[in-house]
Amino acid sequence: MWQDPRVSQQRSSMQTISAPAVQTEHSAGEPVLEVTDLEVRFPTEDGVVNAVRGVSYALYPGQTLGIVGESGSGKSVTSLAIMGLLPPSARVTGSVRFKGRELLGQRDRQLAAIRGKGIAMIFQDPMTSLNPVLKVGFQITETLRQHDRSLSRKSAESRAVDLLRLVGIPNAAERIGAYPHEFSGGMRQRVVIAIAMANRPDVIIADEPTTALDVTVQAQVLEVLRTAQQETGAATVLITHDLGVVAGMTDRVLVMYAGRPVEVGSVDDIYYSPRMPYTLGLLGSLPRVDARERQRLTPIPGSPPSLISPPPGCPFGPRCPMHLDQCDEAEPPLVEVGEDHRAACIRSTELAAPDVTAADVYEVTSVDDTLGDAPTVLAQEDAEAHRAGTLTGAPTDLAAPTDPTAPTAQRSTEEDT
Amino acid sequence: MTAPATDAARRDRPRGEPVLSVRDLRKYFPIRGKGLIRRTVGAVKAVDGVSFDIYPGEILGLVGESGCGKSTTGRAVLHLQPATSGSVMFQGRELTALTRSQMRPLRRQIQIVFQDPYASLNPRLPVFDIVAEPLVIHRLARGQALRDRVGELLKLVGLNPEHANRYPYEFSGGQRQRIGIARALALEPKMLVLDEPVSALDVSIQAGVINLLEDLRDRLGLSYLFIAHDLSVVRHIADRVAVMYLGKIVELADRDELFDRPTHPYTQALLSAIPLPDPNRERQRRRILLQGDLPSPANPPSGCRFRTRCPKFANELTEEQQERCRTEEPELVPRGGHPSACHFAETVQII
Amino acid sequence: MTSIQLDPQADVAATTAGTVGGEFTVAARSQRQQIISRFLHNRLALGALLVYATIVIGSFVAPHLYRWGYADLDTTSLSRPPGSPGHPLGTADLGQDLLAELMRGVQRSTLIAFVYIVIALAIGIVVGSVAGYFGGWADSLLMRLVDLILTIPLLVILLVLAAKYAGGGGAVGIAVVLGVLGWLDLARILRSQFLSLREREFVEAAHAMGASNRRIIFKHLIPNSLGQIIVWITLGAAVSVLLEASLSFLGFGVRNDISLGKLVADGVNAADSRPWLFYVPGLVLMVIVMCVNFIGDGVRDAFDPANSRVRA
Repeated sequence: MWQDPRVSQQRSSMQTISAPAVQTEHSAGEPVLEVTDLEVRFPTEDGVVNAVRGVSYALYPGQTLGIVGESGSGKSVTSLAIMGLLPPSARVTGSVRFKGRELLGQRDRQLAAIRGKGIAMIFQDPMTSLNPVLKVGFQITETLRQHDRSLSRKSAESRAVDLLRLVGIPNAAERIGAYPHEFSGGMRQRVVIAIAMANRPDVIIADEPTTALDVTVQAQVLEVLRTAQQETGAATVLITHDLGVVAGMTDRVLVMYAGRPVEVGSVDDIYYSPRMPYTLGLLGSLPRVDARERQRLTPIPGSPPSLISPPPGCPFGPRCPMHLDQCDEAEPPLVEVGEDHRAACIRSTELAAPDVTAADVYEVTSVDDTLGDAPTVLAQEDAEAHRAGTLTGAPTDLAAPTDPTAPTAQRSTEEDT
Repeated sequence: MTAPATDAARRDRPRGEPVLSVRDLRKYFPIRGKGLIRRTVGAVKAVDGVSFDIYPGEILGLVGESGCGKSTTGRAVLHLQPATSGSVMFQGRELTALTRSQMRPLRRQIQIVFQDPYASLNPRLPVFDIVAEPLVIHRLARGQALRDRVGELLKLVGLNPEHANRYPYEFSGGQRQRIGIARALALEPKMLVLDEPVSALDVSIQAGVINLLEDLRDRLGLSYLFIAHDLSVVRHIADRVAVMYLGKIVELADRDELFDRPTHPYTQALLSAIPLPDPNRERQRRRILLQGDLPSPANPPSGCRFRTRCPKFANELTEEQQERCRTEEPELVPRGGHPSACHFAETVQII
Repeated sequence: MTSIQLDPQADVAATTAGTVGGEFTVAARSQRQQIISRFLHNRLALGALLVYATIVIGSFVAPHLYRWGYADLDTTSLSRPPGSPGHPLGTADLGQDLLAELMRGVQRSTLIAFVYIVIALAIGIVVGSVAGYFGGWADSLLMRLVDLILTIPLLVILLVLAAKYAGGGGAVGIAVVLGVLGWLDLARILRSQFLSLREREFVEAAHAMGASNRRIIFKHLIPNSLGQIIVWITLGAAVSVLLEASLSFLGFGVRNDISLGKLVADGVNAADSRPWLFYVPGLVLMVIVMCVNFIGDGVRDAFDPANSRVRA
């Protein structure tokens, strides 16, 4: 396989990380999307925030990859970097190859041709991707005609109606004349999915597509997303913090922590034999609606580390119940722990014993008395604010930053000068 | 149908008088017309006849999706938004008729924890001032006694008392929520209204706050009205659960009873929609998908409010039965073991 | 059940506590520190602050060291240009030392700004708080009043009021007149700020605790509006200097005293023959107003970086 020269230098030292982390049994052919050693840095007043610190994965046709992580883990920034939607101040390195073509460093115009047609994106808030002053029908036909100039207005319109019908919007033929605000949140997200699948993309990246929705609506939208996958045959990256959604929707799962993948494997491996204490802790901290008896939850103490000059060792070390002095020496690489299963932990073999539960490892506690460095999480929020701005062309959220009482929203939002 | 022994025991357990007794609570928000006079042209019936009891030491989960009126119910119980009609009896006193100054002494007994730990703490005040504020307002402590009490409270919620001079932004979301809980506990209330207390938190942090709330209930004998949209959290923490839809309670039962033997089609759909963090189970699941959107609470459907989206109404009922759903509003009365507001309540095992 | 040998050293709390003070975490800065640091990084505003402080402090301190008082007449040197011996900035027609007059003028302008700000703050905060916090008819009434006052050109009212009530022509009288009319924008700013703040959960939390309205306004709402208030104060200082100058220029301002506006007004007639009498006070006035504006911009950007223009 061809290697990007920028990557190869680092490969010698960090070989285990650089190899495509995600492969699968049905990895027939070339990956449609291959991300290698992706790094994203944001300069801020307090220093450089290392939002993404070496993400690698390969996505094969038809596959669904789940990227899981808590706020500030860099999961959303990763996909924005892939789409070239980060603010200009962000420094992105590494390689993103779509069907063998390098996307990083491309001009915006070239990327625009791939966005939508090759890779489509679905965001958490449908209002950020829908233009509030245009009819939804127009927004769909526009997307269709943008990538296929030969399409007549008439046939684009009938295709738009088909798409809306496909995503389950009742009276599709009449609803194409409606504006986004005339739809409910769930219906809007359906419209966004319809736009995303309009040009039969090879990859759909869905970033928290159902987080803002109620659970019954979430079920509907996930169903629509499945339909979209089947219809288009697109490979999907599903980014979410909801371990339930990931369990039902994905083939493979990548768990992110502090800007890095810490465990990658098939969905069953991740859920039934996690080999990284963080993954185990996440699963143990979930209340289960299918729990017969009340079990105490196992919280993970502390909070994520600062992404500005992170500590040299394992980023999870300070919160990890299995922490050793060795853990602080170097960041553990992502190593093979089973067939097609990698974890970044030097004690992962100890978790290999059958039936290890979170309660065995974590202290069941209700105390949380150490101060972390809260500002780290904010880089992510800022990136999200930026994203909203990038997409709508509007300045970043006006309400929050003009409010001097919200210092948190203000950090690092300035453009680089 | 016979309830298993545990449920029977739970029901037979002497519970005494309820701490909080809500009867036929209604909260309408007027819709005003345009123009100079702004006449009232209608009302959003956010809460439309809700009744429940909470017993000492009990956690009642109030669940529903956005727009079902669960948060408004919480605010109306606390008299933060005056109820339109109905009764809220707290420790034998009627709250709805009280003025603001009459309500003030009662505020010591019933407190609230908010959803957003970033919005619910004044960013300009150090944690000490935030937690001390209720004690200062009610003139319960000052000087060294106040400092000791705040230290105790911070320790109680699992925070380090030495951090009292820090400002909210220095704490994580979970820790801020703990500060909010410490503030609510400062007045030693009998009851807390918890309005989505963990839904803004990351799961790893949420678990610690849930554990804390359980511990506090056990140690201090508190009662909670636990408002949430996340049924997993409610199943974990609540003793009894009330499910709301469009301003009304549609089903009310003990926790296991509700989750194992739901009888209302809405509860069933809600339960079936929750994704399980378990790939094998998830693959085998069959979802009940609801059709359409939530109707406007300003103009709810006649008869049963859920009928417009009810899969049972659409697929199983005969013309005659449907007519009954359209014309007759189902009461929340025991059907199949526990109260359910469906004419055709029937147990379906979902999980 | 499997048991895992946990490292006895791995006391999570202890480890994390260790890292908090460690060298690799960036210490969280308080909001105040952030604001100050942002301001200090704004060179223009910082420079303006230094210049302004020098002018104001100098005008209060230097007269004690300077040979001429503002009322002194040096009959030996009339209408001397700047650079004359003993009169670095020259003298006016009757032998008044221009530097001494300027210092007096800056003192008066500073006093006017101070009194103006205090009065306008008091009225603006009360009106803005009441309208924004209580809303309803109080809000409607007060805001209609503001609208009404705003429909009349400010200068016209000022002229009428100044002629009528500041008859003595003293600086304080002018400042009071300015203050009584200068609170409108502050009241509007605070009203809209309170309208959004009162919906915030921490205010609702205060209600739930049984806090009184007064406590909510003073403990929760005003401290959270401090940014706006401070920005208004700095910009208000510039406005008052300019308004005083306009009034004096039109002959309705300070009469039996000296102010920057009056110096400029008196100098106009001499602009051709004795240009320093017009240009020097005019320059000082301009520098002061520019400095205050830059400081105001800097303060606003420091409180609200997201809204700032591209920085130098």
